[in-house]
Amino acid sequence: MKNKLKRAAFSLFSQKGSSVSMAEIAEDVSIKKPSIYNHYVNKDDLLSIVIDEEVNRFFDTQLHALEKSKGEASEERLRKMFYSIMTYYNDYEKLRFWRQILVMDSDELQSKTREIIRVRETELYRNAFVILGDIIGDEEGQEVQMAYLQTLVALIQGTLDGILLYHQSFDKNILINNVWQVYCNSIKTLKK
Amino acid sequence: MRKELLLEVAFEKFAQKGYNTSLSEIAKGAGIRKQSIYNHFKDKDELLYETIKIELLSFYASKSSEFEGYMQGDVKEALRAMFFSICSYYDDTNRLKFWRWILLIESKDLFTRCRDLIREKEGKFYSRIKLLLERELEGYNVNEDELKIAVQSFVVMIHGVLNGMLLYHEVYDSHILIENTWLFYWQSINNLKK
Repeated sequence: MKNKLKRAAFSLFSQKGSSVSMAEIAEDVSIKKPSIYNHYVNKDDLLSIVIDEEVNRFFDTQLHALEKSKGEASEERLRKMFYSIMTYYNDYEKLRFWRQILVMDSDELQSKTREIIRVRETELYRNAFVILGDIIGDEEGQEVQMAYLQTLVALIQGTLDGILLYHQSFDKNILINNVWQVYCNSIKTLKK
Repeated sequence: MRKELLLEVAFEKFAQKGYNTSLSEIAKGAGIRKQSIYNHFKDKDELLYETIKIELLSFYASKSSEFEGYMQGDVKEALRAMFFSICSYYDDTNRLKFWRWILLIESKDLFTRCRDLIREKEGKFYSRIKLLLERELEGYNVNEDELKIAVQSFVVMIHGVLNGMLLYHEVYDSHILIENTWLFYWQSINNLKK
């Protein structure tokens, strides 16, 4: 039952955001609303567990993929990371889910979630930072490396916005490939 | 009078809760009975569409006249000013959330209407950036596709910055993020001058 509840909460949160009600979640799994409280203290409790799990799943997947690409050329590893993140967001429900996190109405849940994301993000970016340093070379300095990392993240997030706005009305792979091309070309110039 | 107040309250509520805000909440915020909303708007979608339209049009109108003045000057300065001007428009988190919620509207009909309006307005903005870039890259061997991608990445970059601002506001100075991404962008334009 717990898994069913979490699955329903995930879907409904992705659709409606944090204003989804316990009644709606209960209805989705065909149980009475009070029964949810046998499993979760309240809505924020349920949502926070669901969000926590998804956020961790995402970062675990990405970190695992990075681990797997160890030994390959740094440029290839960075490319794989970019495309692996894009593949994850290929699922429209997941994309919405993450966007809902950023606009949540509950302050407590919001700051708690942002904190988890930041911590896990740092882990992932620390890896990406090292890879970037390897590509760009030491002489450029850490500030340039940092700027390139921030840009990569901005490009990924910006691409996802484009997908959200124009989904179903354009070929997102073209956008994704274009963005990667722009980023990749810039790195190559730095290398010279 | 009533109508304006309703639109103001709807703005606040939409920024807070997005499409899930209810007419009852909006009525309550405006201090009127829910029923009275229908004197002004057919339904929730209609009220929200008006609210969103006002914000979109006012944004594009103000940016459009501001950007008009940049068209003849130095391209780098012009693009930089545009980049910063758009990003800092969203320094107000409430406003930023409002725009974010547009992307998440559940009603397919309302979403499509808003998207089409954005597309239409964005089109003019895109052609301006394109004109500037054409001027900057004149004489270099840059093809139509490369130019299109350069325009596209300008917009993608801004959106990415806005997400960063939403996740990290209160934590770090967003101007560093804006500056860094801008430098990268300009670098990528220079890369086209092969």
